[in-house]
Amino acid sequence: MASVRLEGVVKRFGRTIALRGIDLEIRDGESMVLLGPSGCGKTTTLRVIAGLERPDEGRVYFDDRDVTDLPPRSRNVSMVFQSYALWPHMKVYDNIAFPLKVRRLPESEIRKRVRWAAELMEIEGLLDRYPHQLSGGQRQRVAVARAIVVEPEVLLMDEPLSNLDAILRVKMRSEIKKLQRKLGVTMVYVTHDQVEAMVIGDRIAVMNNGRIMQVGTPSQIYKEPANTFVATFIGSPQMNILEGFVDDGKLVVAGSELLGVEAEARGRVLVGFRPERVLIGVFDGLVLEGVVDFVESLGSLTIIHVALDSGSKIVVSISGEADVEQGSRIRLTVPRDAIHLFDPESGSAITHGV
Amino acid sequence: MAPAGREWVKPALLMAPAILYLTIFIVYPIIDTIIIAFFPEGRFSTESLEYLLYSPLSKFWDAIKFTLILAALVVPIETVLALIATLVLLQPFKGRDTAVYILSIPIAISDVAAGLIWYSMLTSKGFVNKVLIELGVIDSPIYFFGYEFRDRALLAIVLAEVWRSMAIVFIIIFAGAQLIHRELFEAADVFGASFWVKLRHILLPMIKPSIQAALIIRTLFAFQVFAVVWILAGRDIPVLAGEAYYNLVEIHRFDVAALYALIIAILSMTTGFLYLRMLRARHLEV
Repeated sequence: MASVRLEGVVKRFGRTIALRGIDLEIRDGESMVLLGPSGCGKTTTLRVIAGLERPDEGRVYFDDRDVTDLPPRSRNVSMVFQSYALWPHMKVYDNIAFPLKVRRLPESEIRKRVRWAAELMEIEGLLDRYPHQLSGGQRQRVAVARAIVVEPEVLLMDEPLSNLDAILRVKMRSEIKKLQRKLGVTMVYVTHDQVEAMVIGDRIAVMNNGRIMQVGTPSQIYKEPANTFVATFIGSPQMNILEGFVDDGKLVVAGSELLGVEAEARGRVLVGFRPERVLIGVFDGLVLEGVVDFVESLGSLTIIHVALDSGSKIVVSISGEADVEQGSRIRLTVPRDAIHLFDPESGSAITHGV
Repeated sequence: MAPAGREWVKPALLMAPAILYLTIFIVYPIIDTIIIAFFPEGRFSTESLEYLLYSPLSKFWDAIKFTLILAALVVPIETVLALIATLVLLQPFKGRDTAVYILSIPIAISDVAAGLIWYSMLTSKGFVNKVLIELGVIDSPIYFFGYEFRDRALLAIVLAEVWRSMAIVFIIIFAGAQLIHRELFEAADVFGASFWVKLRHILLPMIKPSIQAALIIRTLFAFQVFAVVWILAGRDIPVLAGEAYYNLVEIHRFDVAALYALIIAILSMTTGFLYLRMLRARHLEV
């Protein structure tokens, strides 16, 4: 097991800059998720850790060992690829045994370890098959078995669940998390799916446009987003963001006022609040009024689209069923601790809760 | 579903065009060739065979020998060269596409033209000799052609044939290699494989079907080698197809020419069959 540290990593592909200076520390035994939209640099970061890409600037350390110039095979990492990358001409057994054979382990040891990994992934019955004879989920398990059989210092996963159907994805993501806990291996996991990130990550690094936007536990990322990008990227439906104004302890937003705001902000701000934190009715907090535009009843959840009197539109999410009718007037309250203020220029968070 | 007893109609109809084609262009010519070779005047006769084997004018055994020697030299050499070229050109570098293009040019050059190009290069006043003399490497030209220089002519033929036909082998293998998902090699990198392990255990097994296709095509064509040999060495180095041409066009022994054609056909079919048996890619079978 090892910790991983990236220092000022820059990676260019021709004229496009994939990574614009990545600093990231992944602790020993931790599960770190790199989360972001496609093209944000998360896979490139993973490939730099693997040694499949050489950074143009910056260094990569495993513990205190500088591995920047080492090829992948000298790093003791292993990886689950998005395409699974099972060698089609090898049976499942040989696919899993390959990393061990390359390391010239004795035959008996190889057999023992392959059996251990296969049992862990519940694929003992498939060892004699070729990859094309397996289902997507089974291939996935073989790919994971191959990755853990060498007991790597760092386990890398590149969107491993993206080719599975929805039900299998939900099942596998908790299995991967349990496996990582059980093995205690340092894991870096790339995904664009925020729910997957929340489930799997001890910590999450949210990335955008070649930069890390925020690193934190799933709860920190959700409750204290560092900027509007993280705030709107995490959470479904998205956080509502309205333009507002702070003056002398008074927050003015969408025609409503909230007094007693203890924030350092002055002047124009962006006001964010999550749809699931909004209450129907008038309580202590920011009271908003409007007309119900559209209602989505999802059974366990009701999502209400509201056109505020000021003209802005917001989304409200109520647990269970809600008794609201399209076209009717509605009054809503955003509690003080649910209000985030962001700087309108930089998008950085000013305060969480007012 | 067709009524019972009629299930054969549809498959038969679907296969009919292919069968018709094979009958007209393969089966009929083969039967006709057999007739020309063994029934010259409507009666069975082994005269052509006797001429082929025993006539002092026949160069049959030499033709067999040189055809096999050429195939045994040219095909392995060009396959190894094409594999090396594939390995180099799988790496991304500047000018790679140009290199692929240049390597593929000989495909577009006819074998007669290829023979003439190499003839003019290697003749006593040709490009190669001129350069070597200018550079002071040699004083008098090296002769490649003529009966007393048969070994050198053979070398020239091998050179010309390798140059001419490596392109098709390269294209087939390179195309096959490019179809392999990049992550399959990266997985090998990550899991600790060296260059040789990757070559031996990942790349070669995966391009085996391409190598097989290239070998079949090239060996079969190697048994029909003709124009380059004919231009560079004439009958000094006899080959099967050359002898067929000589008997047909120069001395009008149609029966002997037909017999040569049959021998080439049998040789080709046997080799094709053996390749298919030996190089089967088991993981592709369901």
